[in-house]
Amino acid sequence: MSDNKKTREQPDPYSNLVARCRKQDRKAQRELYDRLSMRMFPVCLRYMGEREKAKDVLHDGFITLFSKLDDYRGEGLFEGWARRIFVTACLMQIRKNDILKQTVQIDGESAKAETSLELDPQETAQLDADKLMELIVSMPEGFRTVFNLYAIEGYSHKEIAQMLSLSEGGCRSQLSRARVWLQERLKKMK
Amino acid sequence: MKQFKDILEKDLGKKWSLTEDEKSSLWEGISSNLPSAAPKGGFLWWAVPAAVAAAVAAFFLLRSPSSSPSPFQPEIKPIEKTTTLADGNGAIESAESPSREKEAQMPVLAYSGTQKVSGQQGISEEETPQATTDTPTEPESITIETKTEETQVETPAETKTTIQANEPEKKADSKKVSDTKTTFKKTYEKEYYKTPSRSNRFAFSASSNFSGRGKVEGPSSSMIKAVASEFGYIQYSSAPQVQQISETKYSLPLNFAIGVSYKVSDVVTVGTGVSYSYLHSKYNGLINGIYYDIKQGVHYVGIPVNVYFNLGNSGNLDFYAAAGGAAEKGVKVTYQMKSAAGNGKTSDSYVKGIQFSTKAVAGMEYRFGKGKNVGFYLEPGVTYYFDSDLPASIRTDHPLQFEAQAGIRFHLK
Repeated sequence: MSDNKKTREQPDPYSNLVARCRKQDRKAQRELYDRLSMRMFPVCLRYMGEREKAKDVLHDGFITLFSKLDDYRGEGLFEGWARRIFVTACLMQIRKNDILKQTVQIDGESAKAETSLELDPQETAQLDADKLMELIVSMPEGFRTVFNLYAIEGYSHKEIAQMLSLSEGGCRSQLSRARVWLQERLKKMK
Repeated sequence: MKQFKDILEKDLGKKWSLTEDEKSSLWEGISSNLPSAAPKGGFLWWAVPAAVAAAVAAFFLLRSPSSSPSPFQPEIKPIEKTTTLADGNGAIESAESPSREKEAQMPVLAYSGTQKVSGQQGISEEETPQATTDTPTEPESITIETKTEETQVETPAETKTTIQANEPEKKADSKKVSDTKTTFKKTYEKEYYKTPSRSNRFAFSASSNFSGRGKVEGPSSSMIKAVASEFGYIQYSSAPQVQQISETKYSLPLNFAIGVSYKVSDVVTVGTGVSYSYLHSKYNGLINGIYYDIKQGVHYVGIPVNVYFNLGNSGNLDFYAAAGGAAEKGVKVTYQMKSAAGNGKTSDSYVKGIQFSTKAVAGMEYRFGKGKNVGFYLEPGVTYYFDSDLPASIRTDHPLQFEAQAGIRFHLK
């Protein structure tokens, strides 16, 4: 998560706001909510796949964020720290639904799957943000989670396996299926 | 994996964002779950060792009033219908004793033995009550009659108590120990059994009534008074047996408390709880002409009520003022006496009376830990103790006291 590292030239745009929020300044909390919710709602939507579920997780994530503001030590950009809170909130909800277990049972046999999701540039040439979001949201729940963590957040297979209590092989298998699934959808879009 | 991330970082359409209505309604739900700006959390615990106060309180409240004999009181035993401690041959006989259940309900102490021991054998420095006496040397008979027309407790309206301590004559030609025959007759015993809603506390109240109305005769009058004093409303300064001959030295009063407080608004927080206090003092006195070092400890269990006013904060420090009061029940007084000859005695008993006090403090709290949910606080302040009928203590001698309380708070979000 190197993109979360703060540079000396560019101070964290949230630093003042965070300091005020720590003092339970309600106006600052609202301002932070306004700014972050616009960026974190799509994140939640990507993981949850449904608008209402995403709103529920966004709600829980903000309560966690405000209650744990004192834990943020200023190491890395605040937005990166906040993003991890929302991703974790999504994963907790996904774990509750036991989606991952079901998927692992289905895909458990293919431990030697591909580890890369790189697609042909021609396949992704016409892919814009909206289309990609539509694809992700319509993905089967099981490998949507692994796809999000690997392809968007940039976690390694090992990290994902730990986060989701999966085997590394199971994680690779999910990703392989996601790749095939994406390729099929992209061909149809042409 | 930049491929997909790069695509997503381009402008996303509005359909992937929250509408203004969704945003507002979500914020309402979130803000209602957030703590407000007050430095003290929604609930906070001011506590020093929590279980300690409760355990100590329970210990003193539930414990029997006396565990060892003292010069002030004879040993307290459950009443026996008829007890003969020793027959003419020195063999001990015991008449039918009441069941354990009945024993617990027995309100009256049984007193036996000699009040005065002559200088022949087993010499004692002063009058010593004894539950069982193997070698009484002085024949003695005590009769106490108590007539109670109206009792504060639910004892029968007409009560007659007779205590007799009879000593048989010595048999000169026998090497056996002299006979002692003590008979207790409680004529109101049957009526007492009929009294409903009895408890141990009730039993001791009955003894108190007995002391106030008893007609005392014979050499044991001072002893009976002491018994009355022990089981009644104790005013130590007027206790008949003790003549104080030195100034009282007070130890640092100790207080432990556990409490909970509720934030009424951003500025005002109300708190209450349970406290335990211990006051210790010592002095020298004469008891029946004998010099004693006397140590006195008084135990209280109380309920404080305080109102806190938030004054602001600076970094990890919160500042506040508080005012309030407390009602403390005296639960026990303990005397430790040591004579010049080295003989020691311990006596403890219940006390009645409630100590009311009011206080004002200025406090500060250093918050630390994860989420600053733990705080170490210091509260210097002034407390005034109102006049009460509790045993004399530093509170009666110096009712206005400067105090400082320290402790730990756990803030619950």
